[in-house]
Amino acid sequence: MMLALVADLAIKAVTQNNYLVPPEELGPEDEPLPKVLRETPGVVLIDELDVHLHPRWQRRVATDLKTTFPAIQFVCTSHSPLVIGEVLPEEVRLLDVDKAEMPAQSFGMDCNWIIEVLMGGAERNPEIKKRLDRIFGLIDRKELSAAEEEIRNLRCEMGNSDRLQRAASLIERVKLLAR
Amino acid sequence: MSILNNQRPVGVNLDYDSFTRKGELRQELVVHQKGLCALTGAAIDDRLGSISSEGNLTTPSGATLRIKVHNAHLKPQAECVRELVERGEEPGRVVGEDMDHRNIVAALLVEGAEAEMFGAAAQKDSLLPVRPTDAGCEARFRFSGIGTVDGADDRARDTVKILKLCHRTLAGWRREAIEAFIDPSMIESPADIDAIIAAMTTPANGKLPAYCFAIRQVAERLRV
Repeated sequence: MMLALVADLAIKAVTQNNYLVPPEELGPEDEPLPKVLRETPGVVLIDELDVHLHPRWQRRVATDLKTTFPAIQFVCTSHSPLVIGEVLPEEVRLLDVDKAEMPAQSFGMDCNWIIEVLMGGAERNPEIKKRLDRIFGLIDRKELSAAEEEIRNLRCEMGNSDRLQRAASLIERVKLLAR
Repeated sequence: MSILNNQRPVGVNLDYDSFTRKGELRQELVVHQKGLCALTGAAIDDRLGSISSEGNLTTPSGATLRIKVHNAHLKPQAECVRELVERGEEPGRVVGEDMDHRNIVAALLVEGAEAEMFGAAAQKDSLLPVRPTDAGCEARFRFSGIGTVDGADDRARDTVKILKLCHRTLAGWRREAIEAFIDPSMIESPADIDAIIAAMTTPANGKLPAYCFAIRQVAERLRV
């Protein structure tokens, strides 16, 4: 998918702009990126940039397109936190029914933050999140047996997780250190 | 026919595959290990959840997760059998290291996709350069406050790689345990650090806290 996209853009750039560098005039300065690709201007619209791409490719697709076609402006839509986390805030517009906002942060932020804050999604199953919150509430109130029971139940349903381990270790701390 | 072919003469069953009390052994080992996995330090007793007689974590509906408590051979069974054959002895008729209690530990086994594996699941048929039963084993690994671990020497570093002790999942669990105990807002004096270290080395009701050796190392560095 990614290869097809880049190849399609490159073919169009070369066939429609060969006046920039005729093939017979390609020289050392055309490595690693031929002048025709460096200098072909344009605007490219891509709907759902991340669609069908493996997460590893979603991470790099925006950067790869910008470096391969530096004179082209890409206008893309995406629902991938992996794509959003690779572009600067000024390159992002969060579209809603009646507004388009530029975020303060995007590049370098983790997927869960982007999903929850920028995209209004849930980082995990809402029911599981509710049960995790309940466990931490039980620990705060020192209802340790109930919290332990709920941790065991959740682990039987989903295995262990960072949050479950934190809760289990907090209980061990309160039991052993009384604080 | 194949069943008949696979049957062994009477008395040729002294190998681990033929051992019929694996569940009892597992429970004994878990108690002996103070409820912790010998390879990772994860809790593998009732803190983990409802565990079936086969060692599987079981959901309320009776389904089993691909997470279990397992009798792990420090020297892999295949290697034990190979050594017997090399000595000209018949596996099953002679007791090999696969039945040596010093070679078997209770461990967490996270099966599933290859990418998810660490600890016992990652070891497979590899030999461990450093075993948890080796004297001074803990001192050969350096645990960080963010859950990662490095070996202090080449053999320990190889062990980290073989067991994938820095796997994202395991390192995440370890980090959470460390941060739960070593909470700066709870440490007001050296005595608080001493209390944490004591809690990591003294079993309470026969149990040690999950990842106690990692927590203790981090706490000891705070004391210096």
